[in-house]
Amino acid sequence: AEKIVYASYMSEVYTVSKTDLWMMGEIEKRSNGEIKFEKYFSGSLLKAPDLYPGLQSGAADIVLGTPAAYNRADFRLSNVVLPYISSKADAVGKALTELYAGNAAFRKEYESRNAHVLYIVPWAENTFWSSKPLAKADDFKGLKVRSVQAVADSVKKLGGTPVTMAWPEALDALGRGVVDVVSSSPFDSSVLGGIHESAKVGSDGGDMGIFSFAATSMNQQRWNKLSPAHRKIITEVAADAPARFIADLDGELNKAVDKLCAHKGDLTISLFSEAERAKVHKIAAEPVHAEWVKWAAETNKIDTAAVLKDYIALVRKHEATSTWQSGFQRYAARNCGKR
Amino acid sequence: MELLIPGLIIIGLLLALLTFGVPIAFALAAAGIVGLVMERPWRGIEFLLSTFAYANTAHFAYVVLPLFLFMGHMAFSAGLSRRAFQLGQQLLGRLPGGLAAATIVGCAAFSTICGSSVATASTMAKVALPEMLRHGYKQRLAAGCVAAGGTLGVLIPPSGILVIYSIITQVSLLKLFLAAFIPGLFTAIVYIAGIWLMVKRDPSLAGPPVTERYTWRQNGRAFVQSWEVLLLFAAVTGTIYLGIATPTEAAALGAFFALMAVLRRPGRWKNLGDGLRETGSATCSIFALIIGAGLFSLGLSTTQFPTHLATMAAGLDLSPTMMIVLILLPYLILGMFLDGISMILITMPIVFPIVTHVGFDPILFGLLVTKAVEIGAITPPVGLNAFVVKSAAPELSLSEVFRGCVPFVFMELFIVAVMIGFPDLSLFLVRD
Amino acid sequence: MGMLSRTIQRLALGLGILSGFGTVVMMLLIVADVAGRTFFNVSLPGSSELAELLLVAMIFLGLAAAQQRREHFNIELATQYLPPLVKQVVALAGWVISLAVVGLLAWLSSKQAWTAFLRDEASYGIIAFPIWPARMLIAFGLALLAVQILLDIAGTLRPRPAAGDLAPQTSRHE
Ligand code: NA
Ligand code: NA
Repeated sequence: AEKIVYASYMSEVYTVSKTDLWMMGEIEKRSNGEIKFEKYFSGSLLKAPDLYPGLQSGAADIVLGTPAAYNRADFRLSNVVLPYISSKADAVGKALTELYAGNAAFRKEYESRNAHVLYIVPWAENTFWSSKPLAKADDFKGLKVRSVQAVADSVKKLGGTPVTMAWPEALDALGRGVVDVVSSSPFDSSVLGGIHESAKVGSDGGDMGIFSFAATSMNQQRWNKLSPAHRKIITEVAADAPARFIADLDGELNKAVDKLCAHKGDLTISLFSEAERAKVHKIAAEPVHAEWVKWAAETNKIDTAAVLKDYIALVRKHEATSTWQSGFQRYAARNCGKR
Repeated sequence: MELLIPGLIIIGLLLALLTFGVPIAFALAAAGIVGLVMERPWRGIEFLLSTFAYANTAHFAYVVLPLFLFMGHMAFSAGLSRRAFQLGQQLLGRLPGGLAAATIVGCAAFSTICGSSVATASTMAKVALPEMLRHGYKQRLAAGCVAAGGTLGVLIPPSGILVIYSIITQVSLLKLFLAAFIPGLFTAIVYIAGIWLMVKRDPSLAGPPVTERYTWRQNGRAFVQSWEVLLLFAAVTGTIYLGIATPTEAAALGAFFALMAVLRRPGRWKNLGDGLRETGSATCSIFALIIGAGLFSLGLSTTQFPTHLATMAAGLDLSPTMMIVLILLPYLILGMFLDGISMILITMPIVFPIVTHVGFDPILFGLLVTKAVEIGAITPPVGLNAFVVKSAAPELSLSEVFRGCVPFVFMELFIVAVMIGFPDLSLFLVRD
Repeated sequence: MGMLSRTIQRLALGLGILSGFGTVVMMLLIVADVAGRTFFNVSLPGSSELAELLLVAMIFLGLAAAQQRREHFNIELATQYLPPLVKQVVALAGWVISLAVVGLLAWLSSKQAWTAFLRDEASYGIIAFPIWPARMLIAFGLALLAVQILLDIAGTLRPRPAAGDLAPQTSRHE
């Protein structure tokens, strides 16, 4: 029997963990128990920043990680999922899968680090949980915002101060006023994690959209050691995983909206108006995208502008047929709570 | 059963190394590395070992440990335990067995600013024990209530044991502290009631009631005079419970005010130096243990031992409560060989998966394990708190100290039963 | 040998004392941060990263001193009833195993520290706080601990050992 060690920094309750659990269960089943998984959740084998380096050296065989956030300098192209591109998770998911298949430079980022990507799934759109009003572009000025990656770059452009903080501490920090806003948090997990209970305002920040993704990858040598039959099973199951994840995410977003609607506390959900959204985009979208193009090309000779263009084109292609509603759109449609 | 064999080999190896006197931290690490080597390719192990020490120590939240250790040392050096005891003495001194009750109050008050059971027992042994003996208390009662009262040190937050438990199990320290307060207070009340009953039944246990009468004004002044204790209490427990500060920040504030209390007094630089040295060496040896226990945990879980054991335990078809009682029993025996921190760190990799598997609340389990560990500290043949009391008062015989602990052990068992029977006593503050 | 050994022992003890001072710095850092936040609405950037680094320094710089003073927790159980010679052999075997474990960790941590230095490894936040200094401290502290254990072993092998030189003390607590 093949023993495969799986490591993740997430606990088992998250949507993406459920997808991984489904995948592992399915592989065990379809291989008639010839493949067995040993599972380490919540960073019990490798902490978030160590996941991809650990995968590279074989400390784990399969990892779920967000290399764009935790190994930013090594996974520059993976930071292509920039703010203000799209809120449609299904479209972004398909675009990323196709980008990995079709863009050699993007794929090489993983292959050169011993990672055989099984599948990529997007986080839900970004949210802002604030103790101060946050409904206009100008509202960002002077706010301390917990944020990472390009979200932080956007916050800076908008006149706010980005603050780094691990998620569990951020929950606490908002309540105690250490930060004014907690961001870089997907809609579903923020609400299910209860951050809205510490906030006075929940905001879409001008429809910032999807800002990051998780990749489940396997160590290349371990992959090569598997029999062709086993590889085939894993490839087949992994191919079904993104669609399953999107279906689960759909359910989780609805659950989160239910929870927001049922919330009794003093919470206002602020959606930026059309005009304010345009203003935010003008200030933060293009400059941040341009900065990424420059930064991502710093250590290599890749035409990063082309990668971004490629990615955006794929997103637009899939958006055309998408009926996906973001968490905030679902909330607005429900017409509950304070707005 | 054969699924358990690789894990049993690791555990057997650990026990052998421990018996041969290898320092616990190195023994844990050795056993863990052997487990990894049995199950994983070397390149992977290399990465794990090369990053392990950093990944398991460099956390802002862990700073809480040296800060609480330092605060305890400073509170001790400043003689704040005397203030705490005096406060109790003025409030309860005139009741039958009042000085013993005052000792418990003093222990409880000192426990809100000190996270160690031994430190609480030893400081109270110096302050309260002579006072009780002077007033004609039987050695048994005097020693018993100091040894048992010391256990409040880790039951009432802050608590070193709960910090360690939180680090090794990843259970929220804030929630553990919130949950521990009521059971800690309850323990103090049960002790006081128990003392009152004992003295009622056998007045010869305690000397004649203290005759000094205090006016409200004097009581008020005693309260004011213990302002340093109250300030520390407010800085630590107050800020945590009001949600103003995280446990780490509260520890820093507490350490800061305790340091001020030391600097106001004579012998300040010596006390500060001693405190820093002791804090440094305790931090080193405890974190060495934490790293060792982490490696042991990793090695053991690569053999899948905890998972299989949890599945087997679930197959026993016991209620979660019965299961927890079964898990807790060995701690009373382990206490014969190990101190509380080592006990928690060595056993959690094995038992914690069972606890979560049967769906028992990990917060309540943390409190119960702390209780079990502390019962071990007041039962023979090895009972740390009893030893501490004995060494503070050489004229007492150890058997007399242990005899004094017996009624408190029964009270403890009663308290544990109540905690298991009424989980809400601990958990109502931390329910989502 | 004697000279070198004494120098290393002194170095270890000195670092052990230094390690305690980390507590005060951490305390002041956090108190300043809390005060700044409460009274002036400013927080010290990078203070938590710095506190982490100090904690790492405290732990690893003090390890060798703790070993020298036999402050690492252990159990004295079976060995205390053994005949002196057997006891000595068992203790020696125990220290050799300890040396192997610590030496391995020190070696691998050093490699990782060097890699981290070359990569200029930093934390993933806004303030890219360098991680390699912490990794270097860890490697150094573990290496010093390994040397200290080695010196202790050499001490027992010397022809006129004080009886029970390496015999563990009774376990320490909290
Ligand atoms: Na305490
Ligand atoms: Na005992």
